[in-house]
Amino acid sequence: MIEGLMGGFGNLLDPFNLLILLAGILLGFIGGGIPGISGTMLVIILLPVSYSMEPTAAFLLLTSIYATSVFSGSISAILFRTPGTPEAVATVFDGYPMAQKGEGGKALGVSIFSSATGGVLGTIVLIFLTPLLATFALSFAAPEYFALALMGLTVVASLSAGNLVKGFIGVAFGLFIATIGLDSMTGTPRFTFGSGQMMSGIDFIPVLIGLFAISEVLRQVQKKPRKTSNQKVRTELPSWGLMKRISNVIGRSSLLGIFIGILPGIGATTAAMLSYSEAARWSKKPEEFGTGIPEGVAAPESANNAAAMGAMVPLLSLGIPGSATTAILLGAFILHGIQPGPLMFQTQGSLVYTILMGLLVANLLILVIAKPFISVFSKILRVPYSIIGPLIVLFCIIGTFAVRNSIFDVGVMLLFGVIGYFLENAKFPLAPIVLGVVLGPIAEDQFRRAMQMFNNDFTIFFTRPISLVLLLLALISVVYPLFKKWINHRKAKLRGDKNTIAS
Amino acid sequence: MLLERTISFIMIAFSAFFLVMSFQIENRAGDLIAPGTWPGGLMTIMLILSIILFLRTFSSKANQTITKTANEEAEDLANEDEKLVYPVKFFYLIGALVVYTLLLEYVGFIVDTILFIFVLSLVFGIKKWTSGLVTAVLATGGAVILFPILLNTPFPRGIGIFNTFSLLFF
Repeated sequence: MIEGLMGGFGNLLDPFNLLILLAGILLGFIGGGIPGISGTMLVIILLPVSYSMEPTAAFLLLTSIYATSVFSGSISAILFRTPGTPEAVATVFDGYPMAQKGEGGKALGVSIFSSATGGVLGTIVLIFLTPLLATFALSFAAPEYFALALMGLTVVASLSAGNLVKGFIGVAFGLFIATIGLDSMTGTPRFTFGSGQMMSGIDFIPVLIGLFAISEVLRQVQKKPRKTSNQKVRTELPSWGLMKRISNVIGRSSLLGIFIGILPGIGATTAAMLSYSEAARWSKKPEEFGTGIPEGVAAPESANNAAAMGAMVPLLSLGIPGSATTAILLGAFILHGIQPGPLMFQTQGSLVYTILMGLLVANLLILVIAKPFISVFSKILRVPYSIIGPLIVLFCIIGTFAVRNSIFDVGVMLLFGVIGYFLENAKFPLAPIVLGVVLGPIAEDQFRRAMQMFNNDFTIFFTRPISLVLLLLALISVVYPLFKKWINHRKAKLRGDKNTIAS
Repeated sequence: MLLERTISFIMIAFSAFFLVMSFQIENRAGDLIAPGTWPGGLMTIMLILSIILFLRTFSSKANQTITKTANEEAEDLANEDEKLVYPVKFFYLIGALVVYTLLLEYVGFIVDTILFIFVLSLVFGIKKWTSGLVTAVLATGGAVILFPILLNTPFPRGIGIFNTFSLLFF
């Protein structure tokens, strides 16, 4: 294997391949940084272009674009509350508050460091553990997927900043939005009001962009006109102390991200969301998540890059895509006459190793290229909000429109912009809603599939070991905050009684 | 407080309405777990929680007024920048967005967007209207070059003359 890797690295040094790799990295940076252009989109668009190239060059281009775009989506998530790519969904939650506190440069630095680390870890795992991990993930069936989704949803308890009722309403609402449209299992229309548009359901991107970006613009427009940011955003790579502080989160999130990426059908976006949930769950101060802490940026950013690499595992080892983008890469392989799968290491060994090394280099280069790239990007912040504001709105509109070529989606985005605005004014947390919309389809589909597979036997979730463990974790995370609250309430009461006796 | 009460009331109405609707979803296969089960369950949960929320807005704890300390008042003054000075702009912005979205398929991307960005930059308080116009043209131009031309993303062309006009560009 080492010879293979060395051979792969040697291939990389070929001038044309190197050029293509760098071009891919740059394109990924730019595309991911602009809201409305995502990594998946770029891969699709460049697919025909790559057809005329040698397979090595073609795949270096496509995979490096994907790897770096997963990182650069966080740039505008942090600076403008608009994720540049879907994978940066969860980075908005803590990234933007950090920017508002004047810590934008810090947030960007954390994102760079976490993304690079997550990506490199993911690639290393990809290289060494491909066969092992693939087998484990294949033992995941519907009950486990449902339990996983449920576990992700229950962390809403920690994300709700103390108001559990509002948080759960948000989750229920988000899950409900995900049901609108044609039911995927039976084809029955649900809540479509006879409209053809509604039958294709409500996509999570308009909801997300509306709830966070549009509502923010609606708020900003009412304020005094001023520069977008009174502070210069200078990206600060994390100090040694900060690195140590977030290293636990990064390690955990990367592993989680890799694993989720490997699971067929769940990709980097869900991984980012779930690892944000998990980081909040495992932290000593979950209520700080959402207020702007580095951990809140480190978790999703390391997870999404790790998951992007993890998604390549089933692709390369089994020929099954681990995410939407890898599904397109599968198409690319077939276009070039290559059949991904167990035999690929034998028949196309050199290509595979070159791709793997290329990914490693791409993820490492994030550390190097990000800072200068962002300082160019952040010159934008000097421009007054009266110009930036409309541009942000324009990008939101284009980004929403481009997802499904649908003006309806733009309308959905507006509606949720207004909804998000009022909900935030009434101190409703928005993150649970997004959680519900993103995880809703998985949760419901897998639940019903599990029921069908096991003859409506509810106990199946508890008799299968993995599922049981996940569900117990889910239960604990809902009960624990309630329990803590009750204990604190009792303590306060006891203290109050003592005081009155003393006086 | 009033906002919370209004919102929770709207939520009660919302969840009740969709709960009833979910019973009407056809259950072709006659399964135990029908297409309507999951949404129905969700709306039940949402209904119960919204009622709890609504009732909470009436509780005595919530209605206690807190007098601000001197420190907090000083903080408020420092947050001048964060004050919402122009509430009416909210409606201008929403209005512009709605009009933009409605016109989009009739007037096409180019015309709609140039007008829209121009109007928006005025709403956002730009000092010289000429800058707004320049921004509008450049932004639309940039978007057209980037998306329909370079990336081949289809953009709305509009109808009639607008359609022909857009063909000049992409």
